[in-house]
Amino acid sequence: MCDVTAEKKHEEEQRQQLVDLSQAARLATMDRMVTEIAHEINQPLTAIANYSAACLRALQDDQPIAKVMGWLEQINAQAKRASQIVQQLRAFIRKGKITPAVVDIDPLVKEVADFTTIEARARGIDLGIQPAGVACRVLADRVLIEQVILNLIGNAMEALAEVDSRERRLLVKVARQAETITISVCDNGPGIPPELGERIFEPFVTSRHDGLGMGLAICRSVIEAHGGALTVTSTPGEGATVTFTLLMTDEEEHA
Amino acid sequence: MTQPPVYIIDDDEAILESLDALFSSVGMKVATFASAQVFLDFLDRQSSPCVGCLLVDVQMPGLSGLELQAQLAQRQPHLPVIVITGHGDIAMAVRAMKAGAKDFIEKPFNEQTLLEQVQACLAENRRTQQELDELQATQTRLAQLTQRERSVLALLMQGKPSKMIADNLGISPKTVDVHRSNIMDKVGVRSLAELIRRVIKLEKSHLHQAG
Repeated sequence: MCDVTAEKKHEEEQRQQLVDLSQAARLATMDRMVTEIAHEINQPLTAIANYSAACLRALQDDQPIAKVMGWLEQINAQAKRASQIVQQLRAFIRKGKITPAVVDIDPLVKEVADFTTIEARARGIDLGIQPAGVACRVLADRVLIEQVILNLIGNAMEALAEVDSRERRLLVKVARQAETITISVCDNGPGIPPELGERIFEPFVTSRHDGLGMGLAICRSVIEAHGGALTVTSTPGEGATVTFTLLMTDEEEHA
Repeated sequence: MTQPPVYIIDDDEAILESLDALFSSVGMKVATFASAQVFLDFLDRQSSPCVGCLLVDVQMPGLSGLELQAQLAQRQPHLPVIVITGHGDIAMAVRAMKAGAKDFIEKPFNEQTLLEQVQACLAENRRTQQELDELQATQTRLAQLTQRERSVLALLMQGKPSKMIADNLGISPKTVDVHRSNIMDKVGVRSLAELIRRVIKLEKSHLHQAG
């Protein structure tokens, strides 16, 4: 009886730890999401501002009404575009409660990569994925793993912003070993300054110009909470690769 | 005189077309391009350098605004560039200005500011173009000078008085004065000061180095 209670308690503690991590990870992700969303919403807003200014000027000097109508239609369409972006954001925030479940990594990586395609395009980054091509099932919290990958992709994008002289490349790779799944996020950015070393895993230490630098510290905690490991390798001037592992599971994926 | 156009490059169709609307609502001429590459291809098809002003989004897939600036510095150094940056992206704005952009504007735009910036660039481009035309004219006219007139001009440019030039070339000071007056006629200037100013300008310009 006593054993069962202790086990239950331990389970509950682990669960609470994941909830806390999730919130921290969400905050770290939000930090970046805000920047991205701001950019995305700014586009239609800019178009609306331009079109409406054009309408006002056209109406002031009695220009053809048909032209003004065309512009008003565009304002309408752009307002809808902005509202769609807000809806996507809401859906993202609402996503899932903490529930470890069987997750297939290949499709998850693809989904996350798709989510960041627009930002990658805007930043002139060639974002590629290299799936394992076989089932890579792990027991994990889907949202947390998604956020880890999102954070790592976000970090890589920040690093690539400093690259002007060559094509900016970002690759997310999934590979299956005997008992583990390895996920790597590689960029050909400036790499991590050697003087930072392991300190990049400390909270508030960052080579980025913005952000709190919470990302990597939280990512590592999330992966370790899942029984995996997260490491960083980098060649200054040539790029950086963040790799993390997750344990495979024999369980089948539930629909 | 036809109005020189504002060339706009942005990968976001809505931004591109709304800018087109804004400029055309105040009667300005616009040419839009969906990417830096499309604009470069357009430049390749032109027989003479473009006049006007370029408005380009700094963050675009493919060739970025900064990369385009580097190419333009080689091919169209006189075309003024205004870059469009995301709100608060000061770092990018600084880089663009260092790469030779005349100005930058943040999204979303204050249309009055944008229109003023573009007008200022167009005016500056017009002045540059006039100066270039003047240089071109000076160059063409100087090419028509005779060998002897050239020798006289070279000595004039060294600041030598007629008498010394005459001694140097073994001709009479009066003949030097005739040459001097012919040179001024051919170059189309009324004073010696103006002649010297034009020649110095030409010598300092890339036209001179190229020739």
